[in-house]
This record gives sequence, structure tokens and C-alpha cells, in this order.
Amino acid sequence: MSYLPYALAAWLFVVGLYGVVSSRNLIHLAVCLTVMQSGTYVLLLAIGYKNGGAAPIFRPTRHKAVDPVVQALTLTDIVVSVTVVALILALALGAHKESGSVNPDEIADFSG
Amino acid sequence: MKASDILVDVFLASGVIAQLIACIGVVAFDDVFDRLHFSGAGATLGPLLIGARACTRNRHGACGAAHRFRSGRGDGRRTVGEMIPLQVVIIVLVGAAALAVVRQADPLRQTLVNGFYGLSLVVLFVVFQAPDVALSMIVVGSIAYPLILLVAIARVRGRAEDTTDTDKQ
Amino acid sequence: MTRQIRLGVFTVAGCGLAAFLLWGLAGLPGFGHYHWPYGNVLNQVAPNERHTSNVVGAVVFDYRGFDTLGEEFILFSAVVGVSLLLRKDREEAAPADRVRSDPIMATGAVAAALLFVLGLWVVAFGYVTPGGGFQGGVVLAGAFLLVYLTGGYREYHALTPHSPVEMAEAIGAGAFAILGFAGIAYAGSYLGNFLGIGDAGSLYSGGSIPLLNWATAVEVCAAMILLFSEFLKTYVIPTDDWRPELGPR
Repeated sequence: MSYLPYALAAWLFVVGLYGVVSSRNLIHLAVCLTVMQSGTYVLLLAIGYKNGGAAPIFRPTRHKAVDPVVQALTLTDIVVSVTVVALILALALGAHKESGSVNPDEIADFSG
Repeated sequence: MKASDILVDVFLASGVIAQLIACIGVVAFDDVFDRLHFSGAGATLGPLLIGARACTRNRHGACGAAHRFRSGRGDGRRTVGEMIPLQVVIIVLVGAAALAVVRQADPLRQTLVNGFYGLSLVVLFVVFQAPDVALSMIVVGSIAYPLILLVAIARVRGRAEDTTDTDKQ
Repeated sequence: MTRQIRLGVFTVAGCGLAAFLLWGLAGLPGFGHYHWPYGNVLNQVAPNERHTSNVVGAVVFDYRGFDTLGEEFILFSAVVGVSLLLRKDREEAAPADRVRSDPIMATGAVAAALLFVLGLWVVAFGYVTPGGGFQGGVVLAGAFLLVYLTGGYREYHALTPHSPVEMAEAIGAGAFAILGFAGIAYAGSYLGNFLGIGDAGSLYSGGSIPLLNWATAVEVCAAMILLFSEFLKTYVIPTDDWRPELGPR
């Protein structure tokens, strides 16, 4: 049971990848990519979790706390993921403008 | 039973009921904008009431809440293996929500499902004792993702309608 | 490659990937059995050394400040990329959308002001309680977005003129880098903490952490506003009397 969070991280990554591979819409694909990326959030936080630990905020008491470093990593990861999605959507809009479609298969046909 | 104990139960019950109504509303209504009302209530009302319950129960504030979750000890909380039941429930919920996001092929509906997925991730982060991360997921999931996704969807649909119109002509 | 072939290849590769992932993850210590030194050391040291009650804030803006510097410039360059990609996409027109209900506009104005204050609060107490420049910056940008949602693009555009916001973004990112050099001058290392650490639990704590925190907030807020603006501009359609690029004629 104590490996369930890791399994969730692997599940999110693989399910997101399945969405990316099977997607028929570039906007849908971008969201699936965020699902993939959220696997990394879960993995990082799961590694830093400590049984009985509380959030690493110490005022006024000192107590057993979870790892703050992985939380800082995840924090920036989430903000970066927005910019990644924004870039992909901008590219998708550009592709739609050129080829009139957001379906990756049709866009491939168009360029070929 | 002290007044604060009753208050705790009232907050919890009304929070859960509000969340349930929001879930039913999202399923029951057909129109995206009707559904958005319920997803909005689900993202605000329920968590607020449940948060109020946590604040009433723990005089030490947010940090103190975690002390009660010490595994297997403390005030007699049961654990599933090494994890508290809440963690198991949320992990399963996040896994199911992720599948729902990926399987929803229509981007507009997917944006809604993605909002629910983001909300369940927020709860997961709180249960993993990462309030900073949860806050960052809240702002990103409620402000940034919906806007850029909805604009992209509207743009693509608008153009698609333009082209169908020209085809008809 | 047809869809069937692609899905077939993915089934094989995905199963392999899942197996490898699970195999690798099974090598980690069980969930909750944390025994790496870095996090424990920081939890012990940071509250005394920096007087910040939120250790995550101290990690983001001090102990791993260099990572945050890189992250800021990822944000910066991503916004530049989005601007470039969407910039040529303006000439097509769409219906100008305006909210015409006075109660909604009034509520929106109040809510936007409240949201703005909330954002400032989230930023200001970032190193005392959960929050900080990243989250607060997005909330601040959300306040401007609320002006668009409950008012109209014209109001939004008037509040967020393009070049000052771009300038604010550059200043936020640049200030972070320059504060790093101030660290070299006064503390002997890049991004070193060079100010007095103040009193734990108050806003005057953490040395140079508050400065870096606010620089990040400005950068993130401006970057988000620029992102939103670029996307909204592709959606909001210029009308005869008013264009996003030119303003009112």
C-alpha cells in the first residue's frame, strides 16, 4: 500500500502519454501533456513525504515536517507548465491557421 | 458536547452536501455555462466550509492540523498500511480524474473535467502537506489554464464555422 | 503512419514504459519513509538562519534561488515565444464582446479590487505563511483578467498597456538577476543573502528573501498578463472604431 502514490505518478504519466499519442485535437493534446506533467508533481511530493510530518512551516512550534525542497521544485514546475501549455496552444493556433485543422493526423497529411 | 463540536459537524456536513450538490449539478445540466456555475460552487463553497471546519477544530491553525494525522498514533486514527485513508481515497480519485481528462475528446468539455482534475490535485497536495504547492495549483487551475484553453478553443471553433459557411456558399 | 499502427506501437511501448517506471519506482523507499538529509537539514537550519517561518519560501528564494532564477527566465522566454507566435495572427476579426449589465460590472470592479489586495497579501506573506511571488503573481494577473471578464477588453487594455507591462516583466526578471550580484558584493556569493534577517514570523524577516519575492511577483504577474493579453488579442476582434493595437481612434 505504501507504494500507491508512486503507482499514481506512473499512472498519470502513462495515461497522459496515451492521451498525447491517441489525441485527435492539438488542444486536447496540450491538456494531456499537463496530465503527464502532473505525474512529476505527485512523484516529487510523494518522495518528500514523511509519515506524521506536517507542512514545513514553523511558527510558533518546531515539529516533524516533510521535505521543503521537493515542494519548491514542484511549485516552480506548476508555473512553468502554464507557459508550456501556452506555447503549445500558440503553436496549435498557428498550425490551425496554416492548415485549417487541429487534428495532428490531418496536419501531417497537409504538410506531406 | 461543546458548541464548537457541533459547529465542526455542521461545517463538515454542509461542506460535503454543498460539494455533492455541485457534483450532481455538473452532471445534471447539459449546457457548459450552467455547468460552470456548479463547478465554480464546487471549487469555492465546499472547500471553504470544510476549511472552516478544520479551522474550528484546530485552534493551532493550519500547521497544527497535521499533528493529528500522525500515523497510527495520536487520537486513535486508523491507517491503511502506512497511509491515512484520506490519502488513499484522494489518490484513487486523482487517478480516475486523470483518465476522465484524457478520455474526454471534446476540448471544451475537457476543460471542465480538467478543472475538476486540478481541484482533486489541490486536495492531494494538501493531504501531502504541501500548502504552497496546493496554492500554486489553485491559481494556475482556476485562472491561467481555463483562460488560455477557452480562448484557443473559441478561436479554433470560430475559424471552423467560418470555413463551413464558405463551403456552403 | 496510420492511427492503428501508432496505437499498436504505443501499446507495446507504453506497457514497456509502465513496467520500467514501476520497476524503478519500486526501488524507492516506501511512501512516508523519508530519510534523505537535505530536507531535514533545511527544516532544522532555515528557521534559525533566515528567520522565515515558511521554509519552502526560503528554499525558493534563498537556498535554491539559482533554480528560481533559471525558472524566471524560462517564464520570460516562453512569453516572448508566445508573443512571437501569436503576433502575426491578428488581422482576422471576431465580435467585440462587452458586458452591458451594470450590476455585473459593479460587482466585478469590487471583486477585482479585492482579488488584487488578496494577491498582494499572498505575495507579501510568502515567506511567513504559504504563498509567495509565484502564486501571488498569478492572483494579481487574475485580478486584471476579472476586469476583462466583467467589463470588457477596452477596460482591460487600458489597465494593462502593453509596453509598461513588458517593461515590468523585464524589470522583475532583471531585478532578480541584479539582486544576485548584490549578493556577490555584500555576501560573497551569487544570490547570497545580504540583508539583516529580522524577526521570525514578521514581514521583516528573511533578509533579501522579501526583495527576491517581490521581484518574482512582478515578473510572474507581468508575464501572466502578457500571456493573457496575447491570447485575448487573437480572440477579441478589432472593431472599426477601436483596435487593440492602436487604442481608441
